[in-house]
Amino acid sequence: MERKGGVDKSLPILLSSRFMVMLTQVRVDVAALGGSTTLAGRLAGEATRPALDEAIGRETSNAAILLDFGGVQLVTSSYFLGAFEWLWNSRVAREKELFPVLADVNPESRDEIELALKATGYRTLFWEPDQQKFRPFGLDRDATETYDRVVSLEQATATDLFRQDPRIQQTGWSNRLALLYEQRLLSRYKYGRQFVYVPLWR
Amino acid sequence: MIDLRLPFSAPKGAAQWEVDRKPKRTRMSQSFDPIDLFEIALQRGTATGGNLVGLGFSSALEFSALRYSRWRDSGEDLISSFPELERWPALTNLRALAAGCELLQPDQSRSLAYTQGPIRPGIKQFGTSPKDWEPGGILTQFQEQFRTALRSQGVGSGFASALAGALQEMMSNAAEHAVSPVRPVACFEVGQGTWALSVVDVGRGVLASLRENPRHKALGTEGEALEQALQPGVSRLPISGRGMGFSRVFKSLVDRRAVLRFRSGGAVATWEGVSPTHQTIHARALPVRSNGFRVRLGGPFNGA
Repeated sequence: MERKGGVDKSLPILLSSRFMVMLTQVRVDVAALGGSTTLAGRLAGEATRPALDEAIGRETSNAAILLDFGGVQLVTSSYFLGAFEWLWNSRVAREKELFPVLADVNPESRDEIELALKATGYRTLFWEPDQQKFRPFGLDRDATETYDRVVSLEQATATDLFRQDPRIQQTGWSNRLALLYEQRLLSRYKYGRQFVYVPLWR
Repeated sequence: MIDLRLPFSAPKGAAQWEVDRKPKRTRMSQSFDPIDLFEIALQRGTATGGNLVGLGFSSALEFSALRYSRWRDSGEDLISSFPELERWPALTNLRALAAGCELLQPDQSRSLAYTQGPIRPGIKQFGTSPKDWEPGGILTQFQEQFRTALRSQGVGSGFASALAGALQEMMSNAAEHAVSPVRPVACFEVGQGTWALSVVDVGRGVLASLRENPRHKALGTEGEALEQALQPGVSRLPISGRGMGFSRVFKSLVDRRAVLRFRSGGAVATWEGVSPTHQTIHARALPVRSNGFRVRLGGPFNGA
């Protein structure tokens, strides 16, 4: 069977590997996964699950799953949720620490995906080719500010952010960081008694 | 039923919704679809099949769903009752293309020759089997056939993808929600400068389906249910993320002067437009009702 994904270090992103974090990057070729350049219908999306499991690797954990939409003419909201929603909401994705990020999405498909994300309340990172970096989608101003601070520091604890801006209590920073982790936008590891939050790329 | 949700994001005030929830009377008019007129005339005992014989494949498929429902409910075969329908080329070809499809061949006794003409048609019966829907499976191939037919007529790849996507969305919805005694059927036809597609089922229809969701339990009529089903985020399933079956793809088709027709039970809705700011959805009750949910889309692709 054709390989639809795999560990790929050639993409223009570097994933965190400092200290305790060993975050793998797994690239999934969405067009190859779906067997078509037009991906529509929830049932068709759900039917890709076995191939997606294989592309990600059943043993893979602690990984950024780069969903590469290059070559996809159209992916609809319902296909997107049918195929990939489990990466945001399933217990197995949480336990394995899988973090979905999206790349090379054309404008038509982006509209559809954003519709799906808004309807479900999920957040994600889109690769922005003009800025050559990933940007979060669906965050409010406070969350965006927190996210940007972590990116600029490359990794951060709540204490780090409190030192940067003591107007917000350490607990407040801690809550904001934990939410970004829950939304699958930051990974984290435990260092002593604190969590260290790390961007999925840098 | 097919779980249709159509987001409508045109600028405020630019769009016009026309919904006759409880029309005091229904008049025969040119704005009725020929299939609806035929059905109304059937009820009144004045029907003739002659008005249908010039219609295309997607109309023939919708007629087939009506024929199946009547055959199942009363034993009447509309083709036997209206022999002039034997002269309906699209219906003849459609049935020949799908000799094993019970929805199109309820009596299982007709097998007519199909002659390839200038129209490129396709037809597929489908269900919920994961094998049908898996990547590269028969439904992906069917969608690709449609896309290829469009591309061969010079349709741009973006528009061809939107149409192929709409076809597959409707098929997925029908398979998932129809709860039909027979599997739904989809067809497409691509001619010179025009396209059409249709997905029909003979299942429970929009009203019964939406009422499964406690939020929509109070829906009273098929017309209200159809009106609701065309809204984004409305589904029989009370789960966030459901109810986006057609999302923006559908709107983009309307922008390209496509006409969208939805029929469920005793209600029909059309969605037409010429630009993002000039779109109309018109839902109305009919004096007749039939089983299932039917969707028909068609339009031009000159310059697409």
